[in-house]
Amino acid sequence: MLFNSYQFLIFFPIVVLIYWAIPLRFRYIWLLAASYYFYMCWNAKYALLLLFSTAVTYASGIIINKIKSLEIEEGKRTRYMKLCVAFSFVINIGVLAWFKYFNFIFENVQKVFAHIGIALSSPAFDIVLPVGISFYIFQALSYTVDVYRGDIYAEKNFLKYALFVSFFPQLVAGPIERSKNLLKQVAEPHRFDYEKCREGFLLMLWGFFLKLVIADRAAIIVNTVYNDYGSYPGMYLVVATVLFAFQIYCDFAGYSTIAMGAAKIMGFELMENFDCPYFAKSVSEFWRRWHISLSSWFRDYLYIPLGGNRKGTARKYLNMMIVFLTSGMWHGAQWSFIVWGGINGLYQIIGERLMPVRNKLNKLLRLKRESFGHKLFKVVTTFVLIDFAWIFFRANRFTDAFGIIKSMFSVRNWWVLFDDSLFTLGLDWKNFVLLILAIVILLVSDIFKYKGIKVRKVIMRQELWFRWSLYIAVIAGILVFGIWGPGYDASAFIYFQF
Amino acid sequence: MFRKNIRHAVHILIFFILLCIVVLKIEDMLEHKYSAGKYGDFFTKDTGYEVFFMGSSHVQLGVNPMELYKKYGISSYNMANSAGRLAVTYWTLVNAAEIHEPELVVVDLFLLDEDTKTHENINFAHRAFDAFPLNRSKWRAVNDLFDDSGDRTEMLFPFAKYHSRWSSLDEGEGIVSSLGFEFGDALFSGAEDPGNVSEDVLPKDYTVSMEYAERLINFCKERKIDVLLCYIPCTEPLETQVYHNYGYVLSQKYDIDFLDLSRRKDIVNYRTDFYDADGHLNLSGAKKVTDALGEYIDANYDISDCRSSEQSGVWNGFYEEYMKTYAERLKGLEAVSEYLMMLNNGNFEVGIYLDGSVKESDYPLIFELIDNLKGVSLKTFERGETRAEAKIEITVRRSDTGETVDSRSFDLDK
Repeated sequence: MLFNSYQFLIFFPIVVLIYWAIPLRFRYIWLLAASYYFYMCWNAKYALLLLFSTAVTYASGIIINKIKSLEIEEGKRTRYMKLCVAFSFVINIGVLAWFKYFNFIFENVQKVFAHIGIALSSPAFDIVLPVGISFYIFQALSYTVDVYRGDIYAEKNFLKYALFVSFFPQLVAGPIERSKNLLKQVAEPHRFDYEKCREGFLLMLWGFFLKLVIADRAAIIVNTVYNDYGSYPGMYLVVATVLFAFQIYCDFAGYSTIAMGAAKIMGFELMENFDCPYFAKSVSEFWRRWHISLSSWFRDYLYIPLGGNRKGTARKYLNMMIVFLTSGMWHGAQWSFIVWGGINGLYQIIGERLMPVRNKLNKLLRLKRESFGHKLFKVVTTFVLIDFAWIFFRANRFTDAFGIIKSMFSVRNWWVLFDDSLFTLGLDWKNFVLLILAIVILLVSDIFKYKGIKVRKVIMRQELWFRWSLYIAVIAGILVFGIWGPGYDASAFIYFQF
Repeated sequence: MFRKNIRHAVHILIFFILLCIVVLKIEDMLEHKYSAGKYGDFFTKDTGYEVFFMGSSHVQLGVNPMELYKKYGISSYNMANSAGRLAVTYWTLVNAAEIHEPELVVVDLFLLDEDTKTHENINFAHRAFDAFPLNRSKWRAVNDLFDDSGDRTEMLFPFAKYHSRWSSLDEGEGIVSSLGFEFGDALFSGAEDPGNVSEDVLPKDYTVSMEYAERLINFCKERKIDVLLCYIPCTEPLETQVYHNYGYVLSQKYDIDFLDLSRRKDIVNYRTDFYDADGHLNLSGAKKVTDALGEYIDANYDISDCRSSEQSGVWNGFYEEYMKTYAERLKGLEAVSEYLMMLNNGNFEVGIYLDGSVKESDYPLIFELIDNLKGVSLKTFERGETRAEAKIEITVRRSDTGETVDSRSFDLDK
């Protein structure tokens, strides 16, 4: 079930009420049952896959622990532990590859063979991607590595471990939690904390605002333009691409925020997944602020094991490209995602290579790095670069992306910004203005966050009448201005496809 | 700790109540007013309604409760709805009967050929049900009429549909309605009598609409409510007309009357009494059909005369409101043909002065419309001298009060 669905609005309060009503020692069991029910609402049989991945990584943790306690030679111990980790990885990545990449690989092999005159017939079966598979498999695999590295003891209680993998607020679209954080909390008792509940409620409200008011509203224009980009050239594509940057941010950050809020209500703290990414002053900073749980996963479980930056510059750049291409692939089995990942990797490499040139220019022109103008310039430049890459992410087909870029740069129709043409893309002028206002609210909120001010803490310190008026106004605003109900398909969160 | 938890629980409860109040207020502002406009007077406790008229848009535009009240003292409500299949009609009756239980239900059998419960456009169902409160009957109706959970949710909680209307609140949304009767104040002079199918030709299939027609009759029987089946004149083609012959079957099976007004050729004039090409009656046609129905009901059913009852004050209030609306619509008309059509009102005294140069051969419709008024509202009809301009001057007064409603002059050449 989606967070923005009637079923979730019924499911969540019931789960929370029972969770807090039952004795401490049974709560994790209740949450586990609720999490599996949540997942099975998508597709009941794929819960077996979730269980399988859970069992394999649980077993790997137990075995690694057992190996650690064996009195054998250190070299052999390390070899056996690595074997265990490799086994866990092969099984889980194999499952992921089968469900996510088989069709992609087969289609490309088919094309290659077709070029040399050999026709391969398509398989009789159709592989459906289980929702959230990329998220929970990565989360489970991180546990295996953490146990191997000694960052955490293997969890003996299978049910508690299963809850760590399947915890419903973050099961299908992250954040990808670390065992050090979430598994530890699963094992701990949680007392009811009214303040945390209030904070969690505020987080959920903010998440719904991002998703329903901004993301799904922007999606209307983005879909109109990108699904028929031939009819909407030039400036239409520029506007749609800028809006897509906010759509994907608000969609994903909205989900993560709802997940954080839901978890907080139940006493769990999930990691921050977005930290004002569009205020980043460089692409590398952007990737420290965007989908933090995935970026840090790749850093800790791919980049560093590959050698990171410890084996020379060339190897560092190679490692970076591997990470970004893999990240692209993680997002989807399409060339456009791989190219998107590659572009971001190239940005980082080029950015680093040009650093001396930039430093020289700054010195020559006597530019003050800390001045507002300089920072703004860097923020805008970074946004433009990231948004350019988003074209590949959003385009329906890989080849469409080139058509879109060509149209953006070749068709000059800037007047569409002023002659009401933008109100023919699915949103009337009132809805368009509302979208812009909502984005402004988002940016203001992010400015506060960037400066270290937690808006929800400020709100929680106010008088009761002010807080309640604000909460009611926000809820009413989401209900009235949100894109939900008949006439709109409850649009799934973008990252569910991963 | 326990006290703290109680305090928190009370806080949450009060907050939730306040939130509900605000949301309900917003819902009220945003909800489409069509259903509320149609059923507005139905929910009053100041009077009852002894007769319900039910069916599709043909009844909605074809039966005028105010004309029935004025002439026969019958208290009635027009419960019919656009695209109202018999399933929707049945459930409308079930819901309405919880508010006011009628003595007689008059059901038109148009759309008896339809094999679906509802029109594919769910907005028609909203028009029929939005005004009714959310209770067990509405729940049962929605669950029976709709299979899709999204459709059920929006029907039970219309806010899910209407919340986005904030950007279009300035657009018109109501209907001109009087006790559910919709004013058909336009004239379509191209309607043709489709003829009639022989009574003994029956449909070969048994449709969903037929099933619900029987359910409706059984519902009324259980509550000792009389049922009168009817079929009001329209332009339905012969192929589907065969379905309304099923009314004769139902009439025999359940020992109830079936009044097939389409076989009486003395009621409507196809040139003057229709609103559009879909066979809906205009105000003139509605007056004639209402008179025919009223005559039949008055002669065959024991319906009290509310003109001399305790509720007469309420009904007089309804009537004044109706006449006020009627006058406003009349004054807003620009076309002389529609103006003349609308003068077919039992409470009007009309004086027409027609210029001598206006020949029947040149303006046959005008003369037909004037003929339409003879015996109803036309009090004086003068022909003037032949002059250069073709003109018609009309004065309209209320018969009961003598008040001048309107005085107009039309240049026929324009």
